[in-house]
Amino acid sequence: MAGYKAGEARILVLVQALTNFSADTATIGDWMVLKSGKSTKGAYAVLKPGSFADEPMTMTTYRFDWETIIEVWHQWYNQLSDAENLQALEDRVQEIIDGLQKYRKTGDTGDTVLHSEVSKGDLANEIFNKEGGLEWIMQEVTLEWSEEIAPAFAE
Amino acid sequence: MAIRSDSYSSTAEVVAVSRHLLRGQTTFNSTTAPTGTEVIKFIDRASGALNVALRVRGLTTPVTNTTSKLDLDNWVTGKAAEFVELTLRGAGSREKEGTSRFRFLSGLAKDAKAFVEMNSLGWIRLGVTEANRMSDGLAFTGATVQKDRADPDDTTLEQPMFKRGKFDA
Repeated sequence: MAGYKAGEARILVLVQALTNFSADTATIGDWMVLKSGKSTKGAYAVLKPGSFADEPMTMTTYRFDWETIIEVWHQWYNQLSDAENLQALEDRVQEIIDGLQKYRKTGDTGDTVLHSEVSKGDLANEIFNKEGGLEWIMQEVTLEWSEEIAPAFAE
Repeated sequence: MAIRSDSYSSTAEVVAVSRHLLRGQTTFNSTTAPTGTEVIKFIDRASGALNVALRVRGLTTPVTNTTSKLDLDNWVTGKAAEFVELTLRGAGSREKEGTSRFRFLSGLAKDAKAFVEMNSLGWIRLGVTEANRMSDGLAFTGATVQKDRADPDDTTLEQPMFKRGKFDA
């Protein structure tokens, strides 16, 4: 099955299978998971779509280049030092990168995905509470993947 | 450790609004920050401030009237949840007067007093008893307070047109 939504669902399955993530802590576009308190490590992943582009391959097929952005969240924990909190985020980001790089086709068995790879990451963002204290730190990891799509032409 | 018998709210109610700090636990316990014991103390401290304010107003504590107690439970839940939020980091290690953290800690008793003053008449009308009526302080020497007389509602006797305490409830 082709299309962004199907691909994003496959990526979610890969993230949820990682050691420090689960169906309770990794979602597509559900930021309420951050309020759930369900992660023992205070780590959450929220997937959202990035940009996309298409390019004709043949007269009847196109190659779609999709981006899926994985927001990796780490809750700043009082019982850890600043350095330990930051390292915890780095560990979770690395876990996501390593986990996704193992799959060159996002686990697609339908042979529509041509290629996938972690292409970039963004700056780690600090999220402060109303008192001005650090509450979260979040870094985006971008996974690029492309697939071949053959539209059912109507004309 | 359980909350005091004269406290309001419960740890479950505080958990419901502070779930994001549970770190995989189902309730606050020894592995969370704040710990379960700390949350219980937050509930007891907020309840203590409220009970003192209730007694200042002359109401019997702890309040057991089920409708009024919902109101009190809600207030304590909110204050305990604020306590919990205060365990998160602030901007620095030194708290200055004027920050909301400082205001909360120093203003708990004042908040309780304002809350009681705002709602006490409603609670009384719902059935919360007064241990000390405000009008008691106006009793004349030698005269029995109207409410303590044996015949305040005896319609066979002539009753006063005015009596002390009419505006209490």
